[in-house]
Amino acid sequence: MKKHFSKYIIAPGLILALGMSACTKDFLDKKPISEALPEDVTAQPLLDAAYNNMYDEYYTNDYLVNGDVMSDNAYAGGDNVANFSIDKYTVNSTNGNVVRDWRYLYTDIKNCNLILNFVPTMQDPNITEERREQILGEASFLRAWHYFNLVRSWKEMPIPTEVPSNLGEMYLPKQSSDSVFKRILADLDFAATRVRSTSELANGRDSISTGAVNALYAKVYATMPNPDWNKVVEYCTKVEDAGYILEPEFAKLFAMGTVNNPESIWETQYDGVVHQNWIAGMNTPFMWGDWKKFNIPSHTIVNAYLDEKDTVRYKASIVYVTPSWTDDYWGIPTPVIGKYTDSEGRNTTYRLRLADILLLKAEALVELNQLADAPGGAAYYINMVRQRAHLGKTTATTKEDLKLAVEKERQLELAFEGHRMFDLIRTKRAVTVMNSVKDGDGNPLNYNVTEDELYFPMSQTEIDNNPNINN
Amino acid sequence: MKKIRWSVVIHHIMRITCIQLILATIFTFSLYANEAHSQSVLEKQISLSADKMAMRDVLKEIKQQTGVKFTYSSDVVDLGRKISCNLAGTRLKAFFETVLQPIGIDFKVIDDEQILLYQAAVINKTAVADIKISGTIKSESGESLPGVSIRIKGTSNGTTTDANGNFTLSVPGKQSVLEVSYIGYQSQEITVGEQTTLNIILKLEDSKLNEVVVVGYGTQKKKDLTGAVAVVGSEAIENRPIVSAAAGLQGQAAGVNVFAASGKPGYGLTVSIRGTTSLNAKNDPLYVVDGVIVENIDFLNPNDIASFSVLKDAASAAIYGASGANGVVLITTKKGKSGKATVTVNAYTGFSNFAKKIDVLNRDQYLDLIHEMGYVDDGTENTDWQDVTFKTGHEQNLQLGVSGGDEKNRYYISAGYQKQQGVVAPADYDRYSVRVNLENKVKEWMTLSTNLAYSRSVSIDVPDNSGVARGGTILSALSTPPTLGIWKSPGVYSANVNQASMMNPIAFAFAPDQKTRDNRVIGNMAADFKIAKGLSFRSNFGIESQGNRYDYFLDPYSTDLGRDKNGYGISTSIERFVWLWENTLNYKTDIEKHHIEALVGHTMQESDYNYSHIVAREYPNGSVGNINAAAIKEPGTITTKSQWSKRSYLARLNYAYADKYLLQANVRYDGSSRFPSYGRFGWFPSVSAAWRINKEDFFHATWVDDLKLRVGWGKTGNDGIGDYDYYGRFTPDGTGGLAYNNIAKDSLKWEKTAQTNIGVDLSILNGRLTFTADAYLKKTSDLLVAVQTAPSSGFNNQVFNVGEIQNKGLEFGVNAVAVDKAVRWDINGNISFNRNRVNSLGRYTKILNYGGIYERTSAIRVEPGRPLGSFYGYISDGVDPNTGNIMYRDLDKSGGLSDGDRTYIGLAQPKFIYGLTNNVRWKNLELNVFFQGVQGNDMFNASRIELEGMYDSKNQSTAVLRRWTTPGQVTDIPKATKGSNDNSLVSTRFIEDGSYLRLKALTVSYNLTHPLVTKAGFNRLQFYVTGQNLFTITNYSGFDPEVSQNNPNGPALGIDYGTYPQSRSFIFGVNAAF
Repeated sequence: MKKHFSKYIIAPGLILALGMSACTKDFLDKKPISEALPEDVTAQPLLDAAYNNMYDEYYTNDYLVNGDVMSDNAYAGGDNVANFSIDKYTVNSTNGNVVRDWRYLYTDIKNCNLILNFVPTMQDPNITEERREQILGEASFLRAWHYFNLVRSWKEMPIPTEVPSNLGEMYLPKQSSDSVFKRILADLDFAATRVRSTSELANGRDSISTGAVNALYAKVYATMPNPDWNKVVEYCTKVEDAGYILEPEFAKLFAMGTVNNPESIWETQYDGVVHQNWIAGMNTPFMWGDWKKFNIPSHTIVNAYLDEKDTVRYKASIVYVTPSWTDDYWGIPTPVIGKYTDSEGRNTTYRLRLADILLLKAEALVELNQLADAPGGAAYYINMVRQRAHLGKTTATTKEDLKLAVEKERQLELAFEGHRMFDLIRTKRAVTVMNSVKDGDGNPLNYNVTEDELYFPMSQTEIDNNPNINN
Repeated sequence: MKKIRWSVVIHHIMRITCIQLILATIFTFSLYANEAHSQSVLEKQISLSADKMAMRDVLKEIKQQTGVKFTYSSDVVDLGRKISCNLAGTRLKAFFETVLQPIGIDFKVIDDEQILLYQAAVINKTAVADIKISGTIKSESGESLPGVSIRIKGTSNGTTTDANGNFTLSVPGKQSVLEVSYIGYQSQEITVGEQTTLNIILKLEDSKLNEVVVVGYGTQKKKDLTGAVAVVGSEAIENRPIVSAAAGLQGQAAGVNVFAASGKPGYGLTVSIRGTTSLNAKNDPLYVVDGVIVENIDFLNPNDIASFSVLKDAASAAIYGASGANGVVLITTKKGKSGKATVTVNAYTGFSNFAKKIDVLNRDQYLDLIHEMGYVDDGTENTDWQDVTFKTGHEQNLQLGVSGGDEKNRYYISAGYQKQQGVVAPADYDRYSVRVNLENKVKEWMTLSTNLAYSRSVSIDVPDNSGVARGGTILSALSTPPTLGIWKSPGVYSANVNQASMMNPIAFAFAPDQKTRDNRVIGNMAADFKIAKGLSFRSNFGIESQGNRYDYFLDPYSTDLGRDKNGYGISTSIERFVWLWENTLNYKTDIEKHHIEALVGHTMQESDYNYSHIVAREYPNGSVGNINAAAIKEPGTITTKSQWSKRSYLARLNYAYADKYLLQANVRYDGSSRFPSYGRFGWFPSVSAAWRINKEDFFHATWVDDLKLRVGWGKTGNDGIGDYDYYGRFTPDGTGGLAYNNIAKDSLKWEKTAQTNIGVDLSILNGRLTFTADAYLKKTSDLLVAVQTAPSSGFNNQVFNVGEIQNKGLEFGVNAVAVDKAVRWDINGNISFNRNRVNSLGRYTKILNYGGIYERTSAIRVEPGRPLGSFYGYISDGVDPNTGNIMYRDLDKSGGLSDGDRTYIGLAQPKFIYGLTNNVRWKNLELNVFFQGVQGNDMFNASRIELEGMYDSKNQSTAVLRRWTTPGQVTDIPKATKGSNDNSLVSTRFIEDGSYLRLKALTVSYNLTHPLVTKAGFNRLQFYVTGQNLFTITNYSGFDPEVSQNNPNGPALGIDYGTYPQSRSFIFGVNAAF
């Protein structure tokens, strides 16, 4: 009899247990376990993420396509249509590189905005107030750097400085290149007083120092629609005074394992494990096997080295290989970029180095008509760089000749570091130079470049997705 | 005396309904008060002569004669029951003793004017003049039926048959009615009368109408269904070499589209019910196996499945609320039957191959082509790579089952081993499974159901769905130059001499040492409590636990990738645990012609998920392939954890009047951790009604068994999104940084699908022909759309509930017994039409691209106003005889090839899908022919880009022998263009008709019934031969029109890009039971 009663006990018992479990109201609160919520974020990982952007596809390979392939330093190589059209000035708004580079750079800017928006008020027991200011300064520099790369390739664009918190804030209008340069200078001003000095970072040249800020100031003042050559000289001098010296042995700069070289103002380092400089894999057969490689040195650059008898930089910049594939411009052996040849991708990428700044100073001094081969004169700085390459002094003496001498020197010195195209645009020589490029047999390549084609069209994705873009 | 009466009263309380309980309590007290003098009421004189008079009228008559009022509950005393008696001038007492007590109704005198009637307790055998009867119960085929329940109607007194189908029972009188019931057979009622020996034959419950259908949180008779529910029985699976349980549904139910996106061994099938409702959330139905919600059904041994029940419309699926938008597939596994233990053996073996070969260039033709393009190839071999790669696969299955039990305890225990060895070695799938299903009637009022299944599968993959440059084995078998042998040098596989990454297919298939191991435990325990008559409570606790591991190792010397990475290793592991607790209270009652059923319940579910993925390289010693031997762990290494939980309240009301008007209402109140706290819960209601027209008085067509009109509406949800999508989240980038890719989305909620369904069920000529038709309109609002942000925001798309999508369709199903003589011929056919359209993608998103083609644009575009699966590309106007290039139509009149020339060029969604099964039985021989087809869909044959593109040194199909070579030549194949994609862009050139009709299965089976077989102890011994995918009628030029590179149940369906085709298999099997 009692047993029969038990069903009246068990069933309601279960219901009761159920009711009690129903009271555990946080049963439906599940917080991310493998991701951090905004309130739990600290400053250093955000800065690390911002620096990690220097390993993205734009800063590993595409910057070189834009700087060297688009110029007369290299051919597109490989089998990628987007690269071919950049090489041949047939870029349209759907070009794969244009679309992705635009996206990369703005993603990088967002990461800087995160720091600049949140770190000032962030509760973070891991950092001192001094470190907080440094982080803000570094982020501000990085944002300026990204905008500098954007404005050099696209001219006009939206300028987000805040992290959007809802959809409505994700569609910003386009602004003029003047506004972009203003933003860059403001960001540099903010960074200048906060980042660490060159000497503090002597063994940490992958971080932003005052040297990097001053170097970028110089480049910005030289690149603006109305360059301020005095400012360029002023900031180049500041860089010089910070104690950077030219590495005596040019090839050593690009040897595997060279980091924190005294010539380096700002660099990206690769340990070969967590980060690999896969430009070696993209452009040479030394990494990732022997498939058809990208960014093949041009006849123009090879001839430039040969004409100048610049063996030191030629050997460090170009190596010849016997590939299984055939190149459209070269037979066998085929030249490939020699500055990054480590099979594990451990070659340093120089974002800013002294030789670039010395030659920029020379360029400014030419513009200011200070031409002499003496401190404060253009030829002096050209010769500093030539001397390191074991070359004699420049024979140029006139303003026009020195202008070309700087151009040539920059080409030989900085080949495959993403500079050439922007040098030509800055000196307004791009159309002339590009339209006279010849192939290996001396036949013109007929790029038929116009001024408009020197800049990329805005990404079609931006045009499609952004109703406010006013393109 | 008093004491005894108390105990009787209490005893009665145990088994009477609520109403009785109340009545009894009230009257028990009055009983005491009046007992002394009230017995006299029984002495009152009555005179009653009734011939098949309704009880209602008899009681009314007595009331008139004596002034006595009767109190009773209608579910005890059947007022409509016809009784006969002849009581002239007797006392009232005699009426009770001779008429009511024999039919199980006892009485209590309350006072002079009231008598309580109630259900009798155990009839005291000695107190009544018993009649002893005995008998045998057999089936129509003469088989003795053990365990059949025989009950004296209106009492709980009864017995069951023994192992030989015999029973003996004492009944209280000739008027006694025996209720004979047995699962799977029609119940009978037999009035004892003068008989003392009963030979009862039970008919099989073959009427489909009375078939019990599993629905959400319960069962229903098929005739009582108000929603659209399709049932597929185990016969659809029997004698077929099915590995994935979902294959059993293919072509069997209207509105249920099953895709085999790849023919790889053990590859799970995709099920889509009534079209695709979502872009970003899950499109798979909810799978429930024996009451346990599971992630997928790949672990199931198809031999264990008793039936599928597919809840197609919202009216039936709304009880699953926010998980029901894509329909629900309920699977019931086999249960034991009471009676003699039965051992079943199910075994088959067979082989498989590809039904088709694609002709590629031979050595000379290949060299001609590549020389034309300026390549050099000094290879000396002459290899037919398809012969080398596509071999004969093998299939094997062995399943042992034991089932049986008695009235109280029943069991089904099975163990199975299934092996599928692919046509492309080393592809392989082995599954070991064990299942124990128990049912224990622990107490008269408590039943325990236990289902426990363990399965382990070990599979070896071969990479497909990509081109030869990315390791696709199938395309490599077609595009590897015939000039190569397998080996370049000892231990080093050969590769295209003009492109080292294009390895031969044997290298892709065999060089990696890789295996997936999956361990799954699924189980539940459910306790059913009968609280009172009609009232029961069920508590079900279930778990799904999965451990999955994938290990991959590529040695450092034999392949290009392996050499480059100096050995490459991947190790992935998934550990998943989900528990579920459901509590439901069910009440069921009949009040006269009103049938009412109600259900309320509460469920909780919680999941814990752990994932780890390790990538490593640098294995200086190629002989040790574990991660521990690798010098470098790559940054791609990640481990993540996630959790989700759900809490729901549910209720259902079923109401039926006179079996004629049926009404059902469901509601579920669902809360999920995947949505922000203040909008976490949502209501999912549904209502449906049915009218059984044939039950109306005006309906006279007796040849119609059932004519039912159904109409229903309901709302379901789709919560199949990421666990933490609404949070603003910072994701570790693996190298110390945090990436902010997801802004907080406070408004995130489930997608809502409102569905209206109208259907009709017709059954005529005793079920000889049944027909079902349904029409539905499904609208999904709050569709999760990957809103396209401006790239300048720094964010990639963000998913918000801003879109709308709709599906509407028609479904027809027919079952017919075409011939039912010596030969029996059953036909079962279904056809379904679904039309899908995207109504909106929200304010910011104009288009979405899907189906990316390697080094080409996306092939599929989603745009409001168009269906999902719309192909987008150029229109090819054939080959220009002057230039040899493809002429793309200049739609935007730009004068050249431009983005504006692209347009909609095809649709991957079929106009209709259908299935047809014919089953012919003659004596012991049975033939089953099952066709299945899809009509009116386009396929994008991306494989042909690689096989007819002629832009690099891949081998090509023989179609390129027609290539353009000289000006003026008119042909359909353009010229070879080394390094240029221009002639092989995404265009109509590669769009093909994907319609097909396939002989999915043809089975011939023979049942051995020779006396020797019976003598040897076999109940059943059947041999069969099955051919699977025997032939396919299609215009599609690829291997198989059924495949899909991407999930076919989503926006990117209908692309074939080196996808592993389905194989044709021949199977020999035996089914035995003893």
